[in-house]
Amino acid sequence: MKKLKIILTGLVLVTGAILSCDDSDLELNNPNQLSPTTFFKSSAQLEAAVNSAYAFLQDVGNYGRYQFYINDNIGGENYAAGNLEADKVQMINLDVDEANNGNNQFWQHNYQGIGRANFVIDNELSFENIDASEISQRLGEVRFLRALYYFHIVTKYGEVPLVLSSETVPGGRPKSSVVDIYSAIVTDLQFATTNLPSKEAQEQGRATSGAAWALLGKALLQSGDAAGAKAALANVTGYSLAGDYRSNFTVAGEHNDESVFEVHYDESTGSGDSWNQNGQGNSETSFRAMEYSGWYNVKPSQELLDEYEDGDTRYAANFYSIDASDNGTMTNTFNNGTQTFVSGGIGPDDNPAWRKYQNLDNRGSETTDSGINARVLRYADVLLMRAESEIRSGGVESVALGYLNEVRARTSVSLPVINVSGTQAILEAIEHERMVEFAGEQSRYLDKQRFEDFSYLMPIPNVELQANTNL
Amino acid sequence: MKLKLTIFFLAMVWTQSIVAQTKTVSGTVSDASGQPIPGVTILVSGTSTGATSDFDGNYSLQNINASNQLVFSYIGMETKTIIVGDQTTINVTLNESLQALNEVVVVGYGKTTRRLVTGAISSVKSEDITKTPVVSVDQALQGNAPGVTVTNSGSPGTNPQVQIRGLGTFGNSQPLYVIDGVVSGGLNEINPNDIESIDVLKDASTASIYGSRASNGVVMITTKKGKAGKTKITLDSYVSVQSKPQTLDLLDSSQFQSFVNETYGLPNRYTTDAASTQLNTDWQDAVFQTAIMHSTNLGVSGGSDTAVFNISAGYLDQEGLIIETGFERATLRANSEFKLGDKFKIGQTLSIADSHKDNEEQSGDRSLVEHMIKSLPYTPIYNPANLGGYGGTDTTLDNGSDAENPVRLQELQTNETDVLKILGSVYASYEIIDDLTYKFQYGFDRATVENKIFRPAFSEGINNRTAADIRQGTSIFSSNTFTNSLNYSKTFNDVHNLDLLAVVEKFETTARNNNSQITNPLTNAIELVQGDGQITNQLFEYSLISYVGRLNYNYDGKYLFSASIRRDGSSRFGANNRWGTFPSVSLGWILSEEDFLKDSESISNLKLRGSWGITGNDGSNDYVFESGLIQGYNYVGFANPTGISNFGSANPDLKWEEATQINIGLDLGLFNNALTMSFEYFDIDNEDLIVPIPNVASDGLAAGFTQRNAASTKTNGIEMSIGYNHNTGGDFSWSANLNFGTSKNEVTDLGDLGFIESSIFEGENLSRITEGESLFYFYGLQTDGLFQQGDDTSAQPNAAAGDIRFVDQNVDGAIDGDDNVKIGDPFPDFTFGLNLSANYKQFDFSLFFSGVSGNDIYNTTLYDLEGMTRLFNSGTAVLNRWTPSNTNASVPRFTLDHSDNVNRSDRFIEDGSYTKLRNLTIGYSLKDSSLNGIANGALSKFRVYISGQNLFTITDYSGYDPEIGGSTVTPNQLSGAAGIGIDRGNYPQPRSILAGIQLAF
Repeated sequence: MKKLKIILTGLVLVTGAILSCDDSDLELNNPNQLSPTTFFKSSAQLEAAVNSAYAFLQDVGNYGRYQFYINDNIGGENYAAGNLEADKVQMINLDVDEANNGNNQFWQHNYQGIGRANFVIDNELSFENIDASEISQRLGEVRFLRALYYFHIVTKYGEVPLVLSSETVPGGRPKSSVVDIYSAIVTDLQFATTNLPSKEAQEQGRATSGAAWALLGKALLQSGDAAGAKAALANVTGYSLAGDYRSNFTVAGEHNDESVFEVHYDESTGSGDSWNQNGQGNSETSFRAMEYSGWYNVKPSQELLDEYEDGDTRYAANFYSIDASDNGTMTNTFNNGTQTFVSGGIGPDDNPAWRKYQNLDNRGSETTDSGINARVLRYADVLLMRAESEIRSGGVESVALGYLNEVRARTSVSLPVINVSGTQAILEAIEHERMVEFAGEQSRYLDKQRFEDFSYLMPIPNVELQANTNL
Repeated sequence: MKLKLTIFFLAMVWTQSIVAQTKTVSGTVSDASGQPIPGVTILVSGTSTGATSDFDGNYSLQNINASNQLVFSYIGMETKTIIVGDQTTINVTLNESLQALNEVVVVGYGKTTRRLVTGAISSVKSEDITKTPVVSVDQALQGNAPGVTVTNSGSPGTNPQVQIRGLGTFGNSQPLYVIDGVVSGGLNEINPNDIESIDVLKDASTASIYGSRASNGVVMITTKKGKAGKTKITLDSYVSVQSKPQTLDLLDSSQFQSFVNETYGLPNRYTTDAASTQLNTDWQDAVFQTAIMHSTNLGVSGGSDTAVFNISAGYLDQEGLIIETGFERATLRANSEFKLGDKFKIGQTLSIADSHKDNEEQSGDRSLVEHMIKSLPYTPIYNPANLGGYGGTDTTLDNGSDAENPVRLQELQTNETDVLKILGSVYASYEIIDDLTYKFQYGFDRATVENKIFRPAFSEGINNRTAADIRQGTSIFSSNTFTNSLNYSKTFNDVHNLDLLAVVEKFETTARNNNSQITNPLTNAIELVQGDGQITNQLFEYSLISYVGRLNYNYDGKYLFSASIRRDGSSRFGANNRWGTFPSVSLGWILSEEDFLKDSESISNLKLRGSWGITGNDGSNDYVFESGLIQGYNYVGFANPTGISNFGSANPDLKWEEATQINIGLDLGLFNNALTMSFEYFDIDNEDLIVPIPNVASDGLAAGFTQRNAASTKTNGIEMSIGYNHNTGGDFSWSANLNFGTSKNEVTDLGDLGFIESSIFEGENLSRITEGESLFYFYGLQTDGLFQQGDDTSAQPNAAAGDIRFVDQNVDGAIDGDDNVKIGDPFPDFTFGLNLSANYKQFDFSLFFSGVSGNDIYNTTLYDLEGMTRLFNSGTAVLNRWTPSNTNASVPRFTLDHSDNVNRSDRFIEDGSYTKLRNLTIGYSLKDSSLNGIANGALSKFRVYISGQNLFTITDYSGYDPEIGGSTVTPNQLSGAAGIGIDRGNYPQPRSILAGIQLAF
């Protein structure tokens, strides 16, 4: 009998243990993440979601690194001076493959920017406790950003998947036509132009109506709608050329009167980890200064250098050189004038090196964590686009030349007036001006598409190919 | 029962009446060290007469005649048979059995003997662990257990990579570690001296009792318990001197000067800084050091027949081969067990370990070794003029050469990890009725891990940091295991042996991470995060509930049958797929017990066994079935920079990975088990593997992957071990043991995915997964020598004479991405271990080789040594590069124009086969008679030994060490397993000479 009692006690113990193993113990949810269902309930939350759409502009795939390599190398503005890493050499050789790291990063980070914008746009119906005016402004920001990311992509790849919502599709989306992509860009920018505040009423660095008009003009011009571009660009007001051309590429000149849209960098946030900027975290710096005239991985191509008129001060503003006979002007000192570039000390060869967006003017060596903001859109670009859209839409030649000569008349540049006639001659003058004005500013590749029938596009990279079965 | 007694009684009567001349025989049974052994079974051969030795090892048998044979047997000891003859006192010394079939084997929730095992289990005993001192328990498995691949890292305090039966999964490939019945990890915090045995459960029938997490195999670790008898004190201590295994041939300063003069053109440095031409820094010498390691362990054990205890303390201090690296560990262990009456038993295990590890630094995706190779020989190690005091290169003067000063990385910067771990259990068992035992166990594991990184501001020219970078991380881990089990074990009618087990278990873990970070531009004086730092807290919880049932049955010790089933619910899955069921069945037939073999002179053991079963895996990450929002998409420059958005994609259908395993085994013992052989064949089908499937990039998720059950692999192989034990009782005895294992894996299904890439190096993914190939094979271009003058280079527009010719696989006249092929396989064809040991009088010798064969290594240090990519130091091989006057070269020409020569290709792949003399030991022990004269005979053991470890390695591999442990540099890797076979300048293992002493009182 006693034995039976003990057996029962034992069984009760075991059963008790079983019962305590309740299935609900297995229901564990992630305490580290916010739930999408409870988000967007304050203006601060909406602002944070919008900020995340900006974040991908700063990272490696964009202006932190590959935006400049892809544009400048494919555009023919660079040659490999040091032994450049293979993926960047492919860009110079116009044989970028699907495995190319820059190609993959560029694709990923632009689409991730789009993804963050889509997340805000998708959730519009769940916004609560936020003013209607703030909502329209925030939506204007993310739609500007989505358009900018798509513009980056469509100009480098042509037909790509058009993703306008955060819903995922098994196997991915098929490619959309270039026309459809531009149409989505234009729709977003039209929304942005009407909903964004002007530069004066907006926090520095955020998208403005002026930036939206300028980007709309740029996209329309690139897509072949010169008349539409002309109309859009006429709305870009409140900006003027900086007297000193070089101030557009220094920390001191950030957000000057010429600046229309910039991507922010801040050296003080750097931690020597420029390779891994991925849109997350507070460390946002640009790698450009170190890569260009720190390691001298690339130098300006002879074709680009030859384009400068003798005496064009933009040559000395954009390049360091040790031979004044190149252009008649040169900058051969650095570190506040205390050091001089000499033969053997300006990279692996003695050819001119990049000065634009470099910090060497004020210091003895470059940093992997450059804090110079990337100027995405500036007024000189608006003026030259106005000139181009005027001519391409069959407008008045003198109006076009007026915009062109305004750029040449900048205080620090002061080049003679150009007075040619005929569409072709004026377009050639504009192309020349763009080439020397925007050297190393991610413009040449796109310009060649418009001026030179340059049709090279990168292949859609492996990050997409390996998972998208519907391309 | 009654019948049995009657037969026994009749037998006794019969024995007494028939045999006239009988006597009483008595004696003492002791072990090799003279300790009495209680509980030894002494049986009169051919009868059921017997006795059991008492607490002092004494026994006595009556009615014995001269022709009787007495059989002495004890679990874990060699059985001895003695003919009585005219003796009346028979004192017997039993030796511990090396390959004995009665060896205790620890299995899930219990023990069995080697004889009754039907699955595949490899065991390593404490003597094998302490004979060759190791720092970490899993190192002891290397070469000792067939089918277990251990890849050590030279980095002190770094866990080796352990794979059981090769790699079968993409993700977590580490086996499950069960320490005294408690699932735990962190073997670095377990003192190897405290280990009684390690049993590796390799097949489904043995492992599936841990079904849920057993797909990668299970390593059962049993720590030492006390034994009844005299209190025993042991002291083990050793000291070793470690040195680097080999030296790379790097250019010295004058070689470098003439090399750059011919190639890049002299850097400006030489013309502006005359002193630099005189400098000749040997960076290898500066980074590597002769390192001292020392370890001391003290143990006390003993007990009575109602209580046993084992208490030990250990201290280890290991300097690393690389300066400013090392591992220091103090451990304390206390195990005890108490019997209250015949039925009730309680006990506990407890281990406390406190360790400190100084890690090697890495920077900018380059390992320390890579920085070391690339550092220019004319730059000084120290330069007092620089902030921080270290020498470096200048952007302008040194052509942008940017290797970081490796001595500064180690000396100026702090990167250390402190771990405090408390692991233990309490248990109680009660025999409810005869043969039915209930056991409760509570196991606990607590660990606090602190990572401290301090990188002060410095300037060494091109490399500088303007603000001190400070990171402090604390991770507090806790796990609790509650196990209730009922065990019924009974023999019916003498021949039906039945063992039933039912278990209910709950396992729960909590991990809380607190990380803080700040950059401080004001001062280098504060090493802590003060002020407006970034603080992150994370909490991870995991819960697993399991029901286990097992039936073991054998008929007369001849026919063995075992079946088990386990049902697990895991919090790592959504409500749809939380539960998984994992069955197994196994059969064994001991042929040598059959009549037709029983009397065989040569065959002493022959067993056939086979098993089938399914094991599971719930992955290694919590919450991956859901997806929320994350913070951190910050935009520097806004007044409020905080960014929050969605991250990944939820997968509510995530479910258990399943591995269906088949194992067939054969054991053979010949000539009284002097020669033993064991053979296994296994075949594993891994299905529904949880794979990080790349998200469609255009969907724009910031998470690169979503965990999905999307792939299948197949692994199969054989394992063999052959042992010979020559012990005829003379002065000389020896034994040899060879083990051998193969494992071949193949990806059988990858769903819709064409391939998965991993492991970026210099902008290219080195490894790839595709259907029909082994996991993580190397992918790239195949080389075909160098172009010579006049060769057609049209397929490679950038190439000229002296450049590498790549194979145009698709013969389209152009070398491009389509010409990439499989260029290497990181998995060996086989792994092996060879143990030779011998004893001659008081001397003992042992030799231990282990190795792998047929694997490839992608050697990125070769890229650094011979790539000539930028102005960096190089290996001396570049002196013999191709030039128009040196066309018969293997290193291509120098060129600044392009870098196709360093494209991902088989140029950097080398054969990774090696054979290492892992250990050579010579020991001397004092004889018992000599010991008796010391300290009134208190000393029972005195052994001194010297040992050499990794004395030589036979390999064609050109890097430091073909045994590639984990790397500190792992960008864009799918998982820890993905870097397999890629040498990123990994920490090499030292060659060491060691002297030790072992005492017992």
